[in-house]
Amino acid sequence: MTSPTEQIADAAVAAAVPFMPDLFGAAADGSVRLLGGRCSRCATYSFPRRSICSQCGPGPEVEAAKLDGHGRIYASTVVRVPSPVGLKPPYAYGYVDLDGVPLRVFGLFAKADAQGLQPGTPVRLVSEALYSNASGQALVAYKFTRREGEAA
Amino acid sequence: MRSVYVAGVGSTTFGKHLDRSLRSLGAEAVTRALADAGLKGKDIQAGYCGNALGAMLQEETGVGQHVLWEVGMSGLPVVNVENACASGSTALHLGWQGVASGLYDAVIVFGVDKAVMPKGTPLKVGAADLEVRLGDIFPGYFAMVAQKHMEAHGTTLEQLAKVSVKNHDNGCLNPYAEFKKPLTVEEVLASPMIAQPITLFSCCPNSDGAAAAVLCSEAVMRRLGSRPIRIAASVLSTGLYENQRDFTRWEVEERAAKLAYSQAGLGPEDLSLVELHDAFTICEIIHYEGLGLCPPGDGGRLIDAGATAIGGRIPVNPSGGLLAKGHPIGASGVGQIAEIAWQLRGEATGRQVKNARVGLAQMMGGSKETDTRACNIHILVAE
Repeated sequence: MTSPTEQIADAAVAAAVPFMPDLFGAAADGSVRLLGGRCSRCATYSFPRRSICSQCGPGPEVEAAKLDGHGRIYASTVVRVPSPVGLKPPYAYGYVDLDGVPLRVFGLFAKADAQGLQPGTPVRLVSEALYSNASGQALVAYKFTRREGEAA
Repeated sequence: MRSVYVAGVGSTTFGKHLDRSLRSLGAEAVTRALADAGLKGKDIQAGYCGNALGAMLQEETGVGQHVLWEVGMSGLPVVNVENACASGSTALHLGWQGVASGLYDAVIVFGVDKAVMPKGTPLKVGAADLEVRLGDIFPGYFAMVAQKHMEAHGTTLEQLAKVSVKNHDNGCLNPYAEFKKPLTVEEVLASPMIAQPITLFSCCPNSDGAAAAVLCSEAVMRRLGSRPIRIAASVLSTGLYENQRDFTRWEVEERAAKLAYSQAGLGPEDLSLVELHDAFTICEIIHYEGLGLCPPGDGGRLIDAGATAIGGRIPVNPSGGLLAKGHPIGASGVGQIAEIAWQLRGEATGRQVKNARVGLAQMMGGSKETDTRACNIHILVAE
């Protein structure tokens, strides 16, 4: 089994600094993947990947699970004030229920979707600039964007 | 478990106290509560202090000991509690445990915070959370909660705004309240948008203030000859943090309420008034449902009917709530107890709920995995 960091294959994403480590990477075709976990005993999914299963407790291994991030918006909002972490308004975010996996994931929406995405909207992942850290490095984050060609 | 009584309460005004320290505010509330109880510092066997932000904003730790020393109290066990917005109500729960268990006969419980931020500076907490690192703010999370409630139950923006209008009307009647200016539905809706659909006047302020309560055994209560206000229920729990939980309700609140009603041998129909955690207007609507004041989904219709106004079927937040009375984070849970004690003693001049006999206090503190880290419910009964 490869470690989450080894799974970051795409050169463009690997060269950028992720806003938090071990959360997302790229598949061979360059598309973004979330690095989640799946309990080897009860199959409960987690994102970020947990070290101990929330249902089983210590014991069973939580295996790495790459998630393609396709899903539909469960809830969303558009923020109209500057954020404490330095995002300029408007910016939008929400919770996405993933397709085929019982897991809800928080994410910012891509800049193109900063005016918001309604619940039910089908989405996919992209990697996009977030903000700069204290050392002035530009950080990138996974974000959700509208999946074209599908009805809400 | 022994019966526990509220022997006395005290509070500072809530609002901006820029020139006062945590110690000064805390000492005022404690002094008032002791005087109200008719006790001296030496009569108190333990202290419990709720303070959520002192370590971060004032770079102050051990706030409980500092405050009690200001009023000349030392040589006793003192516990500092941080449970976010539920810090004060958790301190109350611990104080209740201390007396109910028989360990102590009289304890002081208090909460204090100075949360007023320089203009335009948002409160920054939760640096390790994925959501916070990605720009999530409290109004944003509650905006999503409002969105789901509106979607599921047809709750309207006007119904949400009416919560703020009612609580500001009540705040106008409360000398302890930060805001004493009435608002209209139109003003709430037209105030600056923070996170759709949450506007500025749909949010409570971050305030400065302190509140305190003296808890005692039945024997001490009888010796003092005070009006017997009994803590009939005291509950604390975390959420279940279920990943795909239903945003339109808080399971932990319903579970805590069920346990509290069972402890008290009472139901929602027995309540004279409720003080609850209206950090945002949508919270009050959902708490109506979670506490059983109306059927699930009917919160919007309950405010429409005027049932929760002073003089209504079940007055909620006669103090003005967090929205108008203010929210000095760690003090709010104890402030609710002071308000309920005044109401049950018939001393809430100007905002008195008629024939108040049973009051319920509810607080929720901190978010985790879209759920809450701490939910407190207390039921007080005038005997």
